[in-house]
Amino acid sequence: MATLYPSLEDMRVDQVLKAQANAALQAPVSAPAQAPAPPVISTSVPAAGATLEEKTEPSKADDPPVLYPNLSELNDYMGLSLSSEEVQKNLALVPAGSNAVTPAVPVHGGMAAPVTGNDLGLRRAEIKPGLREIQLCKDERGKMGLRLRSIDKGMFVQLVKANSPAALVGLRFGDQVLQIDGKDCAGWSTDRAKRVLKKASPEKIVLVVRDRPFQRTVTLHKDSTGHTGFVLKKGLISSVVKGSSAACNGLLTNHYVCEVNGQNVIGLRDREITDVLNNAGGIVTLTIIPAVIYEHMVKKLSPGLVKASMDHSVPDV
Amino acid sequence: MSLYPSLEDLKVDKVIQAQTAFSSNPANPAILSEASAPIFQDGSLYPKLYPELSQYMGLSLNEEEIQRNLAVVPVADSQGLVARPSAVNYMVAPVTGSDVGVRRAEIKQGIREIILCKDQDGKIGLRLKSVDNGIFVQLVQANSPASLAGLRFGDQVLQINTDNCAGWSSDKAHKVLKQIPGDRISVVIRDRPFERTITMHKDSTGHVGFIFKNGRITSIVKDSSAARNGLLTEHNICEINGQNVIGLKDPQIADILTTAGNVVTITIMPSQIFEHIIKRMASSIMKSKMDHTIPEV
Repeated sequence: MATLYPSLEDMRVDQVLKAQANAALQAPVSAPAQAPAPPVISTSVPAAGATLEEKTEPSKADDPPVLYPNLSELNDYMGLSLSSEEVQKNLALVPAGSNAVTPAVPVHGGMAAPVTGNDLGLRRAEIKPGLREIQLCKDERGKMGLRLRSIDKGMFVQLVKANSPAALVGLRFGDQVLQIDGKDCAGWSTDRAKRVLKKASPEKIVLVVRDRPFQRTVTLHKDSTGHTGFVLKKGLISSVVKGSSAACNGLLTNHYVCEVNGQNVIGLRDREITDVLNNAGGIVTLTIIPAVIYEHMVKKLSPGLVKASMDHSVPDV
Repeated sequence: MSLYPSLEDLKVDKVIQAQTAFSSNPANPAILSEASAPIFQDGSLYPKLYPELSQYMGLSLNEEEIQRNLAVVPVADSQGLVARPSAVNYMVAPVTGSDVGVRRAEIKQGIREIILCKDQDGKIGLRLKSVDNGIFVQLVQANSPASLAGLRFGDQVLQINTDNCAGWSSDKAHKVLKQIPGDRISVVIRDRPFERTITMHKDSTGHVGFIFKNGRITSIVKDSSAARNGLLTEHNICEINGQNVIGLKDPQIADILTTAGNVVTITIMPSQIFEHIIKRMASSIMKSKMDHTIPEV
């Protein structure tokens, strides 16, 4: 599930490659016909292993305390409430080890993030630019807890119910479903998707998903009063406070807030969203969506259903 | 060029860099130099592995191409310390590989600072438009300082010389640009927030499978790569393999698609937002002045 691909073709070919490599490994002696070139495969497998190891290898911190002794000056910088330990803690993760690869932060790995560092919320909110495949099953009542909606000839996740199979596999509001059980969803109506899901086998449904294409994330930092600087009205960002982190980072009005640090807040009352914001740490990553698209996406979805059943759990990273 | 998740990161990193440079004397480019290391590996690791792939899913793949791409992606990590500056490098891409179009088109998740100066006429070649209290790039003129600096249609301008642009009108942004001294203008940019990219593959007839009219995608061909990869209608095509095609005529766009390689990455934007950004810009300006060069990776 975690592997990302730029296109579906890539994914399929990679799956063929993996299947072949597996087949070759499992039966190297008995089935030579299946393995076109055993010596080559044996070199390719360690190479793949090396890739994995390298990704999970922790970065080596090169004594940041020695490097940046005067960080206390930064305390009041740009209204940030930074303690020097915090900064150094994060620094250790990112640029200090001049060549070290940042661990486990796929998209943000390339970014220099001395303040945000390896923030959990940022990683939870991350919109990955690729496709992935997930496998679903139905619960004992034959439900998946998933509602889809057709927009511009594509199929999108409109609702993920709390504690449903769909929530467990990490589907989120706004995900685009490209295939259901190997069939392209392009051009399907909402009803057709519903029918296909209904008829699908209860044990195993394979979806290919593109991660929330209409949404994007903006990372904000609380000032010393604990504010990031925007005003919410029914989930919609109605104004941005001058000089605030929201203004600096280019948060836009006329956008709905879908997630706070990766946690879905759609359908929550403004007061509840504010609570989520207050309970978040000094770094807040918002996932936003343009209002026109949001309104299109939640059309024909009763607000009562959203409030009562939308999955608002904090996702695993 | 370093990327940052937020402006605060950018600022603090600058302070830190300044401090490092100061404390360890002028000759210390350690942090800056890592982002641009290219990844190269020899292509001889996978000889004759998967000959049957050439007909797979209607792809017209030849063997050398696959091998070339295969060699670049999964092996490159053996160097260990190579900096991976972008998200594209994290994806498994046996077909797309390290396609240059994908990298040219990549929308990086982060904020960067660029330095502009005015040309001898005092122009930057940039038109801005206010959308939802943010300032966006509406037009980058060909061969202008803005185009040389790599600004693109749809980029969000967060700051001009440390002034926040939030809440500015288009007029105010233009006034600020006009009055600014011309030799060093610092602009902080978020990479095309309203756009996204979709990578597709040509089938054996050379098509990826969508129809467009005046630059807007109107329909998707069934069972095509466009359909598989979830291309949507009611979106405008902004770029093909990173090359801006806004304001071009449909036949010209079709030509660019035809001459592109087998892997085509297009950058799209929802039409409602697109129309909002190009509002009040004469279509003649768009046609004659827009920068349509192929960006450097």
